[in-house]
Amino acid sequence: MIKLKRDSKTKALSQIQGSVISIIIILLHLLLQLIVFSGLSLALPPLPTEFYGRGRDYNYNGSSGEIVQAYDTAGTLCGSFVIVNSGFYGSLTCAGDDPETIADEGASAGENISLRYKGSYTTMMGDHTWDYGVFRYVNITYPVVFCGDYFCDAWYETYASCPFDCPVYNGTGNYTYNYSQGGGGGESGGSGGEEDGGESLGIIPQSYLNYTGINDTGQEGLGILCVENWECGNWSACRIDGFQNRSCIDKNDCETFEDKPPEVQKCFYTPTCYDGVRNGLEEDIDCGELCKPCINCFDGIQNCHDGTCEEGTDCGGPCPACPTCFDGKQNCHDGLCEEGTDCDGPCEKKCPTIQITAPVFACKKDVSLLSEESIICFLIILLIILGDVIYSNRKIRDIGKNKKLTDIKRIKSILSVKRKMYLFIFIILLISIILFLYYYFFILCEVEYRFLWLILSLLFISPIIIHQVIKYIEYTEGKRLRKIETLLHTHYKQIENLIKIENENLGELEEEIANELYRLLDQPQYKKEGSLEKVKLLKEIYKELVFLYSKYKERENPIEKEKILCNDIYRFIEQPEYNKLINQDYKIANIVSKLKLLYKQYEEKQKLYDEIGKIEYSENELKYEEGEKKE
Amino acid sequence: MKEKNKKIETTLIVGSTLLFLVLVIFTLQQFVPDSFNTITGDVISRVNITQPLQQNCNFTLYEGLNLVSFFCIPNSLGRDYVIGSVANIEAVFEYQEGSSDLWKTYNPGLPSFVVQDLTVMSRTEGYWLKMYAQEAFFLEGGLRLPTDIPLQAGWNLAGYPTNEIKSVNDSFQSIGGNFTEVRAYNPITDSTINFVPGVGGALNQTEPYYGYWINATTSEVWTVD
Repeated sequence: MIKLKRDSKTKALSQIQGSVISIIIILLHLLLQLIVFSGLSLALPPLPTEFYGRGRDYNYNGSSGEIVQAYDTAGTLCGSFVIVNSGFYGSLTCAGDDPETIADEGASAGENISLRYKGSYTTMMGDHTWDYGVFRYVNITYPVVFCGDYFCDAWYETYASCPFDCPVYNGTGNYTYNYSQGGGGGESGGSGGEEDGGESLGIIPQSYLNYTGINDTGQEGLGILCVENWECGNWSACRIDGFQNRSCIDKNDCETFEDKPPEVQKCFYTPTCYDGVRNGLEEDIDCGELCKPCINCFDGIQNCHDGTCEEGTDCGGPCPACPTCFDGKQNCHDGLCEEGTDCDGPCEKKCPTIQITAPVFACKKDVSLLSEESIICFLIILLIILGDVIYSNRKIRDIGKNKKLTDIKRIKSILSVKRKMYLFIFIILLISIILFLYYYFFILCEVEYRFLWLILSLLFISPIIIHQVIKYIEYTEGKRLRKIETLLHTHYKQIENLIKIENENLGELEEEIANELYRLLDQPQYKKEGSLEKVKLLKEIYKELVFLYSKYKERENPIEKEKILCNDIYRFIEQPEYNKLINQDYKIANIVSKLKLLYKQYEEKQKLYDEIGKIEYSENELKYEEGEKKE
Repeated sequence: MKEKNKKIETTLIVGSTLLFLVLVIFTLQQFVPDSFNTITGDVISRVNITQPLQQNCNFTLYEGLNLVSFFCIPNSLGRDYVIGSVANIEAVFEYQEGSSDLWKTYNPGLPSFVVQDLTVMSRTEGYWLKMYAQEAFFLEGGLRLPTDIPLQAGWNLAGYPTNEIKSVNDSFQSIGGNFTEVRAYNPITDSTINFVPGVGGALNQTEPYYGYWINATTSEVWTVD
């Protein structure tokens, strides 16, 4: 039992250990990722802080050539400066830390910067915190000044503030020191340095005490022993390295350099054509632009440079190959110019009489004509055209169904719709082609825009093209109308012939009926006085029939009389008083059936007349249209 | 019918003429640089221009930081000639990628003993200009095209030596695939905008007078034309 319990405990422990290890691995992985990715972060280099001010080495001016370094609180060197003007440093650029990376590239905002001289710490006077893109005026004193360092610093110490370091001047050239340790007062000790240190009086150099005592902060020093009186000569001409210098002499020969003006300063060097350096606008060393021309492949002289000699003027050797009659280019050589590509002028080959330089429409970029955009545009245009075709066809169908319109008007309406449809399609295609050519060649392909005149010309002549298209459509329509006119005329003639035949048939039928009527009316029962009234209408019909067939024979077309006859026939057939008569006599019934046939024939003839009327109307319309056109 | 046709024809002619004018104006804006207005002499084509064309720099410097460039100056011109007339300038910073001294600075308010290492300015460089107050900047100069700007691997503060506004893709075509990010600074909003190839960003066009931070993956030459 105990053994089993121990086993389970061991297992649990090993499980916990495993999970802890995996958590640690995950955390390490995350940390590693954080380091790697933060390191790769693409933050911008921050603007630096610039430090400048006075630099002192003990009470002397910091020497030119010495280095002032700037360190952040983590001890990272963020910038350095080599002193140019004794006693001054700056501007010293202290780079900033990129806040988006984990690495310490420099200082951060608000961080105190430590300025070192000769690699050692200094006493700093002024705001020496780091910030983005600011300039800090900080005076530095080497070494770090403190009371008890056996050095009386003119800026920070006085006899009152530090009697240990600073002696009392007794006006005789002797100094009284008030040391609490390392011996009492005594004379100044001549030369010596820090390394001579120790506690003897001799460690303080005489010159330290010669300090003229008003410093930048207004603190009073040891009292004026010697006032520097510097006189400087004129600045030298600006040197090629961008510096100029002068000499300054202290007339009072104080051997101090606190107020010594700078002897070197930066200046702007104006390049000359004989300074042995390529500068300014020169194309090479001391040549080109404002200087003498450079010896190169563009100087218009056959000369040697770059180790070889030109074969012709500015060609061959170090320059591009000389032009020849076989170089596939139109150029000038041997004192003459080719009039075409490798022909005439200096070449033997003669140029063709007419030479047209074809515009170079080669696409400068790898642009596909069948790009997705092009296909989409093409489909859109196709849809627009399709929509117009469907719309126009519907309109044509509606016009076809409209019975109110005459044939000619219907045809004209249909033609008008078709004309609009063709014009619309043509204009859409023309604009699309122009825009596409423009977009493809000049936007996508970046073909030289001097060839734009081709597109512009196309655009310019497009109204003329459209005008011609309209004319063509009009011509086609006119042709169709003329065809219709001819058809109408033929139709008219055919109907006329039909009417003629109809008239002949009618004449025969009318004569037959008239004869039968004559025989009927000649019978005695219809001659009685009582019957006369009953057959009066038949007599009228008889007279009209005789009149009509005689007129037909005379090639006349008495339509009005036909109408009267039709009315009488109608009356005779329809009125009940005559029905009795028809029923009584089979001969009359026979005549009536023929009259009915005659009536129908008249109806047919009337239809032919109507048709002729329509044709005449259409012909008149066409004639009117043509007359208008001619006007 | 005749009247209708005439109307259609007139409309078409007017429409075509308008389209023609629009295309001409668009073409002139697209292909002919403004500097063509002041060209004197014979110019064969834009590519062959070697002499600087008279083209002045004229833009506004805002109070605070400005990330700028000057297309109208040559590759090396005295600092005082370029910014000497700017009254409200506080400081100028130039980032020299690949140099041991990364930053060159100039501050007109510093005493004479201070060695200021920004003495010359170039159209290929971008500059941080810190201003006390807003001021208009004007400098007579010339346009030189094209300009090759050498870039180092890492961040480069480059100028934009052309007076043309271009899309980012067009501008950085010559270094396509060799940079990971471009940033510009908007002095009005006091913020940076960027462009990341393949991703995009708020920076979609490059404009004259702006300086650009370019993070190059390798040393190369950016050609601005």
